[in-house]
Amino acid sequence: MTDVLGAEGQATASPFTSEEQAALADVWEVYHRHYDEVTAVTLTAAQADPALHDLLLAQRADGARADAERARSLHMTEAALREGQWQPYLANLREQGGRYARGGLPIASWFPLVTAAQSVIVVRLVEAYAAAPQRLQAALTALNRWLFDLTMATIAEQYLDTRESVIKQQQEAIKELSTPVLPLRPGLILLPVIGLIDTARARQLTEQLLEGVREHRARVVVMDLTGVPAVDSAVANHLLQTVRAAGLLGARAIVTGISTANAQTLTRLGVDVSGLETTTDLQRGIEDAEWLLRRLAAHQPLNGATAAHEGTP
Amino acid sequence: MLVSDELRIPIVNEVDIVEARRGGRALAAELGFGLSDQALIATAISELARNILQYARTGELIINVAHNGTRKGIDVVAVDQGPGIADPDRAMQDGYSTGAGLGLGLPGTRRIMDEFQLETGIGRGTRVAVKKWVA
Amino acid sequence: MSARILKQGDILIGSIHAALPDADILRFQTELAERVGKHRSRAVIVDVSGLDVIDSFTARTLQDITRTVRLKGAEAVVVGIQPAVAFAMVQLGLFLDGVRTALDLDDGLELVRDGLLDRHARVG
Repeated sequence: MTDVLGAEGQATASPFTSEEQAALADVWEVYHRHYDEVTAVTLTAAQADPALHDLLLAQRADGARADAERARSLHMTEAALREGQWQPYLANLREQGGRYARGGLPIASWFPLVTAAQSVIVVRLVEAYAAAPQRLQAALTALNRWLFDLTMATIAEQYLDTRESVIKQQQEAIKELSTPVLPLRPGLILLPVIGLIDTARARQLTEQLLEGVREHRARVVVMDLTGVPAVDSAVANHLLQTVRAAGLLGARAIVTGISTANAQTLTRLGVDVSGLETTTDLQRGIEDAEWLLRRLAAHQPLNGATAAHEGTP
Repeated sequence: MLVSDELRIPIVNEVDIVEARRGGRALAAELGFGLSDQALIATAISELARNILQYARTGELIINVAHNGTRKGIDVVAVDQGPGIADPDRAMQDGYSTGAGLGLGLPGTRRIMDEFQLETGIGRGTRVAVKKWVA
Repeated sequence: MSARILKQGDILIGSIHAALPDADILRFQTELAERVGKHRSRAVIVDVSGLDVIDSFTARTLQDITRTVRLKGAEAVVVGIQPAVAFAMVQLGLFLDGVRTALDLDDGLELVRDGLLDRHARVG
């Protein structure tokens, strides 16, 4: 069997052998002759599926467009089955598949449609070629290949591609959402970090934090790692660099919420945290940050003092 | 209009550093790198060009579009016929510096870029090839 | 396309623009130091918001400026490092140790006016 799903856009060899193509011409004859019946049965099957039912309603609202699309598809199917012009058919199929996939139609909804069409065509093929069993056999086999090996497989692949790109988009959105910079009060922002951080997320974290410092004119940043289950040395170094970069923008950072496990990991990895100002928990961190801010606002030189030195409760 | 030809910048004096940065940054922007990455790339280029001036007096920077299947990126090669780096391993360690500057910037450059390749030897000149891919 | 130095009372404000070759940056450094002496300035604000790249040379120059003007009795603040530039700097290991920084000119002036700069300030 030649590879029916050839590389996109390239003129590939036909998905069918010449014998199969001849049989498909027979399939077309029967399909075309009983087109209305096939359509009616398919429609009934569609109405039984809740997802398709809604789709059909929407199509009925734009009847002219639906009709035009159906005519176009039929034309392409004819060119494919009768003349072996598969590229436009496949291209159209991919476009439709992608569209419905993005629209959220479950792939399972396609099967009742295809099997409904198949059931009618099989019956009519048997009727037409009862006297020529070999021809009938060839037509039935070709029908199966067309509907399942080619058509459903193409649609399934579209769903896979679409699903992947949707997942990617969602991941980006989640990344954005899960590292928001929260302004707590003038000059103080909080960056709650949640979940596992890989290098890419750490990068994004840094960028968002720096933008946040700039946008909110933050003098103090509280970076809370309570929601981070595990850190490795790469991430730890990223955090350190983030703190340093914030410093270049004139903001001091307090890191809070390093779990015991993470603290041990960092120690074991030999990460130099001497320049890092840390506190056990978020609440304490915010209090320290506010202390810092008050000192800054009161224009009192810090002289290396921190909340710890002051002995705040 | 995408720059498809390579950008060759002779590094002979400090003004060329500025031009190398500009050219690299412009290409990076065209390729779709974000602002952060543009800054990274421009900084790496600046360091590489500076090394040439400082240690070899003259050299060349060659900037190209990099391809890997469907991926695109920026390809920068800094080459000179200078004295070469005597101890490349040490040069790749953070904090190492022989000149009056802050260091060769090679470890930092390697951190910034996705791919890094150093070819050097005493009397054999130096070639640093780096690549960064659009995310 | 050169560096500018303005005087505001006993504060000097110098701006470095992008595309400034090394020699001009060094000239800028020299001129700043000279003017500090001439005007008995007590603070210098170096505005680098026009720089889209701060490499090792520029970083060292900023440190040198800080040290030089301090020797002449003034304090220095570097302002306006762009987020993307700060990111690139720390990746490259340029931390500007010993240099006081602030977000922008306003914050820098505030620091200076209220005598917040102390001689042993460390970044972040």
